[in-house]
This record gives sequence, structure tokens and C-alpha cells, in this order.
Amino acid sequence: MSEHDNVILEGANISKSFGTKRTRQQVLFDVNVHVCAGECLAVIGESGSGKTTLTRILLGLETPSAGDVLFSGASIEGNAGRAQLKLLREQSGIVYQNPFESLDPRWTAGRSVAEPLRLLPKQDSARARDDEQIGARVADALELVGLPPAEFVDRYPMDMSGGQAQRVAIARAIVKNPRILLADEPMSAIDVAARVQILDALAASRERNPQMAIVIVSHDLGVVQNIADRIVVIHHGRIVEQGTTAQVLNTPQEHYTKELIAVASM
Amino acid sequence: MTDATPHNTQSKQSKQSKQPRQSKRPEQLHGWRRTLHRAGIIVSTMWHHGTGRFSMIVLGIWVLVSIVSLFWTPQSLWATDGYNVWAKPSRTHWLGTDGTGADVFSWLMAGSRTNLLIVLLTVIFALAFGLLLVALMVSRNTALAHGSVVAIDALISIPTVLIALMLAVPLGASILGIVIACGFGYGLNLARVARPQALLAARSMYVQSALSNGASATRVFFTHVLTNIRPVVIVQCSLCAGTAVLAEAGLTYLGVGVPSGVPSWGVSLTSSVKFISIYPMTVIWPGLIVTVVVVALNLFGDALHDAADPLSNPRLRKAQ
Repeated sequence: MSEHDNVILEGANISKSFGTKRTRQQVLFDVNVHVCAGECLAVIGESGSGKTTLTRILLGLETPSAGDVLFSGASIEGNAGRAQLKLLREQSGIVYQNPFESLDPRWTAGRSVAEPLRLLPKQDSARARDDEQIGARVADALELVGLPPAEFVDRYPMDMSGGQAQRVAIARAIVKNPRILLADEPMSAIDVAARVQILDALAASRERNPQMAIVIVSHDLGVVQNIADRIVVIHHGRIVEQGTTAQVLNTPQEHYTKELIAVASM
Repeated sequence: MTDATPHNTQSKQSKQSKQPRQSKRPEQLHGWRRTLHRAGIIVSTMWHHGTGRFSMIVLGIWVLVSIVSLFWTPQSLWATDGYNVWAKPSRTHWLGTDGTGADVFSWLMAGSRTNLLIVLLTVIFALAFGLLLVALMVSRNTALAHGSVVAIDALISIPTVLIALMLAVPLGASILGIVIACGFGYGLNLARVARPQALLAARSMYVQSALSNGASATRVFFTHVLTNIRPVVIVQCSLCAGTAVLAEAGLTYLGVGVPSGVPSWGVSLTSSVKFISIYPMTVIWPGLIVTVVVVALNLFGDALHDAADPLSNPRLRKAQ
């Protein structure tokens, strides 16, 4: 089986502009990117390079100005792709940068983690049938990210540390065993000590669900080296280099990538 | 005799068996039991604060008197005595009589149920109307959102009294007129005050996460947005309830509120205010009740706001 057969999500010739005619600003230029099942793809680049916009487009959270996004080989764009977009949303999870902004402050951790399960369509085989099943799966997800369920299921975000809250966010993203997990700079708002716990949580979720593809947006090359199989380097809205983690980090070809690595090793 | 005798052991065992069963820990409770447990904590938190306790006692008495007045009043409302007008408080007439010789206490008792009905209906109307406007203002359809903000800013400039006067043309002096006029005005006010908090929630990452998981906009509004504007809505509802009591008195005085003959605090005030120089007590009693109830409603809102929000009530967070 070739790599292309295993592609789960693909962005083809994606361009994106923001603003009106007068203030139009293009942030992505004809970008081609794909991620395979079971693979961890890291999108790296400086702030404002367009990496978050690219990943949001890939997950159907933004519409591209031009180009197409294919999930399991079918487009998610336009009216024709509505059903595929719905399927993508059902089969993906997202971890945001700031855990305290991504968790409802008036919801307990248990309720937040259970939300994706309650939103699954009735005919979905992954849907939990009753509160007891939901409770068991929430406890399982919390356990997986290293949070004792008995202690955390009824805790509010304000009573957690940044690392704990981010692990709750990861538990919410993985609770329905998604095929794709998007992590948008999941460690940038977390202190260094807690980053190891986040990495462990991501590693554990990969181990549990080996077919899950992860797209991680980061400018922390240490994190990327630890978790990514492949790297895409993005600069001013264009992909300047891509390859396996070892290739990109050990033998960078582009000047921009070399600069990024040099800055990271300082 | 030592403690180890069979008799003592048996009595110890029977004592142990008689001990009350340990109640379940909060995290073991589910469904309505959990809701009841949380409600108990909210009530207990309010009771432990002076202002909360005061408001609960006053509002409790109001509700109780309203219910009792449906079945019993010390004197018949229509029992007038022309030879006993402006009577001082006595064993027969606890708060005296008015200019027609009717019992002031009985009229205030019966009036409490009318005012309670007006307050409840006004709050329900304002809440439904206000939340509908909030939903429009935080809509993802920008034209609808901006249009509703402009419309609310324009409509909020119309005085409630003017609305009540306009409604009096088709409806006459009626309870419905007060409810619609006040509910409309306070609904607009609630929407305007709750909008910033609602916008914060609607544009938040947790809402984005819910939407990306397939939640509908309606579901997001009811689960995330409403939960996060609840503290603001509670305070606005209590203010609305307080001002509805005042508005009932004011609109009745203007002749567009509760029709004469229907007992209410506003009717009691209106019918006796002309005679304040002859016998001020008949004005002071309903005035005093209106003041105490309005203060209690405002304090109740503040106490409930603090007690029902898990962010400001650590007992509620620990009780989960």
C-alpha cells in the first residue's frame, strides 16, 4: 500500500485571504499538504506565518479562498461537501493554545470531556448510550492523560493548573477516538514542567489509538522533535520545506529552516 | 465486668446497627438528587448571609400571604362600614380601616397575590423576550446581529410609561398591560446588559470547540452562552421584579395599571393617597410594604448571583 492510499486529510492548492477588497491580505499561497493515518505532522514557522490558518482550513473551521480540502478522499468544501465536513467534525478533535479559554469556566472537567460524546449522532457506533457509559469513557480519557478521574471529573477549570487544564482539553479531544487530532500550539501557554505531562498525554493517546493522525502546530522545535514524524515548514504563507523530522531538523535545505533551528538551539 | 462479655458485645453490635446510615458523598449523587443537593447548597449559602436571609424571609412571607389570601382574609374585602372610616389599628382591624371603612390589612393581603402574579409574569415575559434578543445579538449572521443591536438601542429610548399608555387604548387598565409594558422594557434592558458577556461566551474557544464537534447554534446558546450569562441574568431579573412592583403602583396611579376593584398594593396606595393629610397610615402601610419587598427582591438577586455561580461560591464547587 502506497503512502497516498493512507492519506486521511489533504489540502490541495490552498490559498486564503482576509479582509475586504481594499484591505485584502493574503496569508496562504497555493499550499499543498497532506497527513496520513497514524502519522504526526508538525507545522512549524514563526508567528503570523499562516500555520494556524492552514490547520483551521484543514479541519473545516475556515473556508479557503481557493483550493480544496479532502477528507478520506472526498471534498469538504461547498454544498456538495457538507456531509463530508460533518463527518470530519465527528471524527476530529481539537486542542487549543490556552486551556483556560478553551474550557467553559462554569462546566466541570467531566462535563467538558463528555460534550463530544453527547454530540455524536445517534446512529454513530462510537456514541455512548447512557450516562453510565459516558461516565466510564470520560473517566477512561482522563486516566489516559494522567488525571485521576475521581479527583478531576468534578473539578472546575479555575481549580486546576495550566498543565492539568490542558490535559483535560486533550482528554476532551480524544474521548471519542477521533481519526484526526489538531493541536494548535498546545504547549505555548504552559510552563516548562507541565510540557512533559502534555507530551506524555499525547503519546499515550497515540499509543491507544495508533491510527489517529495528529497535526500539531508549534514553534517549539524541542516538542516537534519529540513527537512529530514529519515536518512542514511554513513561511509567509508558503511551504518552504517539508520532510521527515530527522531530515528537516538534521539536514535543513532552506535558509529559513536553518534560521529557525539556529534560533531554537540558542 | 469487662467490656468483652457477650452481653456487651451484643449491645455494641445493636448500637452499631442502629447508627444512621451514612449519607452518600456528593460525587455519588446523580440526576435530580444531585440537582436537589446543589439547590440545598445554594439556599444554605444564601441563608448564611444576612442580606440573603432577610430577602428569603421577606419573599417567603410574601408568597405565603399570597397563598393564604386565596382562602382567607381577616375581614371580607367588600365589608365596608361607613361609621368606622379611618379607624386606628384594633383587634378587629389590625391595620385600621380606609375611607370606605374596609379593612386595610385584608386589602393588602389580597393585593399581595396580584402583585406576585404581576411580578412573576413580568419576569417571565422579560426573560423570554430578553434572551430571544440576546440570541439575535450574538447570532453568527452579522447583519442580523448588528440590526438587532441598532433596533434595541432605538427601542430602549421609548419610556415604559408611554408603552403602557399606548397599550391602555386597546386593553384598558389591566394587569396584562402592565406585564407587556414592563416586560418589554426590562427585556430590552436585560438584552443590552447581558450582551457583552454573551458575546464573550459566543466567541470563545469552548464554543468553537463545541461547534467543531457538531453542536448546533441553538444547543451552544442554551448550554454555553446561557450558563455564562446566568449571573447577569439573575441580577437583571431581580431588578426587573423590583421595578415591576414599583411600576404597578405608578401605572395604577396613572389609571393604566390594575383596575380599581381588583386588590393590589398600587390600588391601596392610589385610593388612599388623596387622604394622606387626613389619615397618613393608610398610605404608609402599602408604601412600606412596597419598599421592603423591592429592597428584598434586589438583595435576593445579589445573594442568588453569589450563591448560584460556581466561580464565586467555593461550596458549590466542592459539592460537585
